[in-house]
Amino acid sequence: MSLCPHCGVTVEETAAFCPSCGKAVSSGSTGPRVVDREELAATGAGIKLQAEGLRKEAHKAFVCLLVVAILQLVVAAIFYALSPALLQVSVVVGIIGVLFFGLAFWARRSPFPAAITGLVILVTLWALDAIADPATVAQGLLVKIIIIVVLVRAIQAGARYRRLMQETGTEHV
Amino acid sequence: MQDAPEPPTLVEGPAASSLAEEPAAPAFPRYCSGCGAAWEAGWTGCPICARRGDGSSAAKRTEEIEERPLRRSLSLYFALLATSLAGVIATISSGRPDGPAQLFIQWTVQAVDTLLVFAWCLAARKDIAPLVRATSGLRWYAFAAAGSLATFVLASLAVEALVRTLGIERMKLAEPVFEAGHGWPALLLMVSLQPAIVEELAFRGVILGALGRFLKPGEAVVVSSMMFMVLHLLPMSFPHLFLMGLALGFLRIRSGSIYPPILLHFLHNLYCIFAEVHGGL
Repeated sequence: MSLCPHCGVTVEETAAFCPSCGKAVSSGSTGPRVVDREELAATGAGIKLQAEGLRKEAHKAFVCLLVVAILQLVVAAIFYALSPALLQVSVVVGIIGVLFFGLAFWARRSPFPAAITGLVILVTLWALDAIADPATVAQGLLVKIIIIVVLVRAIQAGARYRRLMQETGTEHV
Repeated sequence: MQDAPEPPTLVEGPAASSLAEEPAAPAFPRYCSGCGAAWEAGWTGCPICARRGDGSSAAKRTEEIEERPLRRSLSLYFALLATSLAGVIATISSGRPDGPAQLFIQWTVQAVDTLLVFAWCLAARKDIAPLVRATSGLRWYAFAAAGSLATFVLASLAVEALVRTLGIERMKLAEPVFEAGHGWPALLLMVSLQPAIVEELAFRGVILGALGRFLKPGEAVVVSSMMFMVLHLLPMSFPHLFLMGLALGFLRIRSGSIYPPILLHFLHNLYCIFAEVHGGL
């Protein structure tokens, strides 16, 4: 602790300016200020950079949910075209497709809650499929894993983005 | 900019003197000690150079604050899903989709769900206690009663449409209970009262409360409604279950109490029983 030469209040050793009068105070070192990663991350420019990256990551949830929606609707159409006896199945698949369309468009505005919902619904439906027919677990396993990874990363990015906005006092979009 | 002249003091006497005696609010810091920028009220750190208000440099990111409530809501959802799926597996492997065995499985699932939800309520008692203590205004119970009629009519129309157009079999709630030799008390308890209390505590209590920690209220209601909808495992009923979930969620948010949504859910299920026993709409 030292005293401000201009107004006399106590000033932190590391302070470059007096927090009371705003005038420069002499600090121990006169060399350039070294900004580490954490400090840069908390500056206005650093926050902008981080927010941009997180938004992009979270936005992938939109693409992912849209792909699921389109796949579901295509499958529903195929079922219906194959045989009118499969009407019940195609209605079920179609309802889920419409649901994912809704989620995808919600994800455009708010990827964070939409990605959580999409993940929960998909895992539930896959579990239900697996019980009805255990062979479905292996079907499209790679696609399922990609979808889960994208959604989980979107959720993490969404959470971080919102916290960043909260900490900096900016209203998130 | 010139300083505005001091407004004339209107209050005189003891009130004025007590005001004057109060210590002035510390206007400290007025400038950032890192970069000299004018400090604005409400800043916890300087947005220009990242210096904290207390003078410490570098903002350490706070630990993942959202993680615990997110985990809590998802873990309860998946625990309930696991019991439901276990019930489905048990029903399939018992070989008979109807009859007393099925009823026994279903009631076991409901009993386990009750225990699970109470355990999670205990873990989330900070969120749940205010909801259970708050009784809310009478008008919210009136809204719940009116809402239950609306959701019942909506659900009946949706089921009727599915039965007529797709030939779906109507789900029987009362018949298996009566066939197994139980009376009205068991029917009301297991079909109306237990689901109303346990599902509301789970979805509008623990899950909505936890989601509300890191989502906006409207978003939390939508996500919890989606979970409520999917957990019923009946894709055909998704549309009206979702709308019912929304109604229950908003009732819980607006009233600040868990009882109005419990009442709505209880009455809704009650009407469903009466409709089945007395021949529907």
